[in-house]
Amino acid sequence: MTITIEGLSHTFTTPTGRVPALRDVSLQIRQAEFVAILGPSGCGKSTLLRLLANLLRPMAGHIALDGLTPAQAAATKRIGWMAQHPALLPWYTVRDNIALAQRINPQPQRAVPAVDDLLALVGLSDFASAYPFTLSGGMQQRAGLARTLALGADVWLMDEPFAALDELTRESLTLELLRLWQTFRPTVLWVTHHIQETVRLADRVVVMSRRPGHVHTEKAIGLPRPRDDTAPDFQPLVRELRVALAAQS
Amino acid sequence: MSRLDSTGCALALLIVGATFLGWELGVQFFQAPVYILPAPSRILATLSANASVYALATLITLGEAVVGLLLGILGGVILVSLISLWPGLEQGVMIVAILVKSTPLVAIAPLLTIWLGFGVLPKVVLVAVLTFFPVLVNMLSGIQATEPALLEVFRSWHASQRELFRHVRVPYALPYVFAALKVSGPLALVGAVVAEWTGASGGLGRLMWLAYTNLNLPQLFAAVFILALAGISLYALMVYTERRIVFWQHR
Repeated sequence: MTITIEGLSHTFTTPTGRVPALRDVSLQIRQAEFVAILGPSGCGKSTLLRLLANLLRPMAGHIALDGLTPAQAAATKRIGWMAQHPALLPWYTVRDNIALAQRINPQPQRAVPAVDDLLALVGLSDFASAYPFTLSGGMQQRAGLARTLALGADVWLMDEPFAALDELTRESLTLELLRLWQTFRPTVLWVTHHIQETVRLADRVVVMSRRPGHVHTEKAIGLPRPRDDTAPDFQPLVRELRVALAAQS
Repeated sequence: MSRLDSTGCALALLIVGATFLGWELGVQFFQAPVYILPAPSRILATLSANASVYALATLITLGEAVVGLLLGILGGVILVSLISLWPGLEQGVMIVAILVKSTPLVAIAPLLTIWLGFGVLPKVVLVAVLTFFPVLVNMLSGIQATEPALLEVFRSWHASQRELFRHVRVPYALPYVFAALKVSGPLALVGAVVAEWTGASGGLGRLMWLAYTNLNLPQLFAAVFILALAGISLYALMVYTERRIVFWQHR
């Protein structure tokens, strides 16, 4: 899915006044591109994803997802949105949680992966009949990941999906995600404040400024995959992004 | 108090046992007249001598309480569904519900008896009126408290209101409903008995009224014992059902 964002602005109205979250954001994202969005907390990264996922209506500007508005794209389930909290339903088993993503607002004309294949892909085949609260945080997030994949969506909007996990789990899941992206080839927007992670994962890093957020720098990461933290070209990129980010926080 | 553990049960039995022992000994010691305070042994003797009478009365009262409670639950659930479909109804429905609920039950009971006769119908209606309110208020809170993170995922899939209600909001509200049922269960018995006091052809309330007018205290107390036992049984039934249905709350 190609994504065009033009002049996007959004302001929240709170009891204490109006808080501008995004100001004049413009981005072009190619089909199957992996874009990391890096920024200080409160820079509107999550707001940007919510606008794309049709969870918020933009106040100004224009979004096109393969030429569709976010509402049209959501109505035909082309969007897979995932947040830090897996938000699984505790009253359904892991399998039912994943299957529900396909049963709700079903789109018979779209091909979706089989639930059992997804369970195998995220390593939860033995836990298909388990209830979410019996699983560890990492396993719950795997189930959440499988549920997002179950949509067969053209774009994955991932809002710091592994931020609440411990470092080891986070690293292994990040590698798995990369593998899944290479299997399914969706367009990915990956929101994070973890600099190393962006260099490890993305084709391009978009650094956002402080509130109200707008695009500060875009940096293409040309390193070949699989990427190695100890490669000579790796750390200079991390340093460069750190400098760009530090100027914003 | 969502679980009845063994130490809790033991402690409760100990307190009840000690009370009964003190009561029995006190009555013997002070030679209390039976029309003021009968001894527990005397009450139990009355119970066993009239076992079939009490069994029938218990069946009638429990039946009224349970059927009324089920109707009350149904009414509460229907009102919550209507409010969820048309949120504009909430204010109006709640004002009427509070009006009905805050009218004293002793004021409604005689009216129902006059209108609906001495059978079980007015009792069932009174119990339903009494028990729908906790279900309505709690289930509505549960529906409205549904975690936004869960709703957002479903909204990103463009789920319909019906799908949201069925898969997210109603299951989320179930623990709230059971909290209400633990109040409404014992309340249903109160409603049935009060309704029987205002005129009935059978039931524990009817027996109590007869015993009261004859100053037959052993018979009055026997009915009180049965009611206490029925009340705690209804509560235990609610706790048991809750643990089976809302299993994810008891991890």
